[in-house]
Amino acid sequence: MATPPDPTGSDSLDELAARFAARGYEPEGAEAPAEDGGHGHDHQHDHGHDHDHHHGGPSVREFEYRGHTVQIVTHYEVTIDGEPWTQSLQVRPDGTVISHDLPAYQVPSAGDLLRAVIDQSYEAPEEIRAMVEETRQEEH
Amino acid sequence: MAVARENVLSTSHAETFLRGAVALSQLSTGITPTQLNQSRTVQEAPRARLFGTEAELARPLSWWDLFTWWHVTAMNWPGSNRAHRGPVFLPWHRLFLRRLEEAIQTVSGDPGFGLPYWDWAADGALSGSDQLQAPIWSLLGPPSGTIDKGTAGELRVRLYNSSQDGRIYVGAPRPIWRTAKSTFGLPTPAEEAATLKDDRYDNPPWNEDSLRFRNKAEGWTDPLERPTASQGPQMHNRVHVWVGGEMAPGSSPNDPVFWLNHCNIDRIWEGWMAKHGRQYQPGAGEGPPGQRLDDQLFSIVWPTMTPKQLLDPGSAGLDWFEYDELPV
Repeated sequence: MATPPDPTGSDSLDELAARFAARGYEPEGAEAPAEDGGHGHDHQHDHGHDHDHHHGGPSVREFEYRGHTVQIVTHYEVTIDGEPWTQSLQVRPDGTVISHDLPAYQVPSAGDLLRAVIDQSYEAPEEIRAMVEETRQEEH
Repeated sequence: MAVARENVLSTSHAETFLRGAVALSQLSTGITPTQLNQSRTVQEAPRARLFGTEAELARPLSWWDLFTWWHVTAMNWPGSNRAHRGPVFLPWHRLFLRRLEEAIQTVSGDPGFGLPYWDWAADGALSGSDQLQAPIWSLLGPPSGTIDKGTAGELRVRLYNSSQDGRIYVGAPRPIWRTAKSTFGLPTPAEEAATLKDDRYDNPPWNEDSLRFRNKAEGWTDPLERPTASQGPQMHNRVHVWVGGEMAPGSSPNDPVFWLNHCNIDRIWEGWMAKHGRQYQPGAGEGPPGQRLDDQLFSIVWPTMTPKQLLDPGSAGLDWFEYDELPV
């Protein structure tokens, strides 16, 4: 019978890597429990965000004002140096812009966010840009 | 044995931490990016795929790199971010930090090692230019530029989560980089105190728009309740943005500063629980799946745990760590 994993995590690193390999490098706790009909719906509905932050879909904001329902759908079409930039941008209820790709940023406009993308990616150190370029060249 | 987690500026564990980081960045897991890319994990979460040249995809990752991949994969899991923008932000990172603490105990041979924290609010009380000259940068290397001197300068990382195309690239080992500027400051003692005042852990909509303690600590909501459109990121988020470089994208665990920032946020959480009780929302029957008290947290390599199991790190069941000083 296999030795059960130590829940306190004090196993040696080699044993941990071997166990991770033996289960096909699959995570634990990845399967979120099913909706129970409770308040889980609130997560998406209250503010109308697209909570699948991983793709560049539109931002949908929704609110009530004097008995009227307002919905604002925001699409972005961005190019940088003429090339499409297709990562996600979301608009928060207060109008600030966030992106899954710079996960701690919250800025007043899409322009501010894209300036940060350029600072942190396009203008990254040479070693990083070379790594990206070599990968893309080999793919082609 | 519960270890002591102490201020990085005064603890005897600061050099052990950096030496441990370097050791983990040199210690192979024996697991290659190709093996991870062929797993069901990447099939289910395409944004966890590693991109690189054939040679780099065949080169095993270090343990330091594997921690970084764990972080990026958790935040890119389909359906919802399993590490941020929700109630599990604090317990998930507590689990993440503890596993690194144990890994450093292993490679250093020091079972008494405790992760240090960076009390950034103390530096946030300084002027913008003085923040860039704060003593922590003598320990960790400069706040801007490539870090290629001192112990932190020996650290080599291979992953990079690009905000240009969203990919996780893997390349040859390289030093880390930072881009801190004095255009805005670190979180202040007043912001920390206001965060600690909130008496409820979290509330609907259980995401970056929540208005309670967790979201103030994470940094999507201004603890001082100023107009957020003009205030930008707060608390934990602001530290990531302020340091920049390696700390900006999802591969931020590359930089040792990541761990000091999160250890401080964990300390703030512990201080908050000392004041308001070991409460957590959402409980059973409320909130989104994957974020509740008894839901399993996203874990690779190590067994998963639940937020409930992580609420008291000094409990008899864990006996993990205690902080030398809690914020009040």
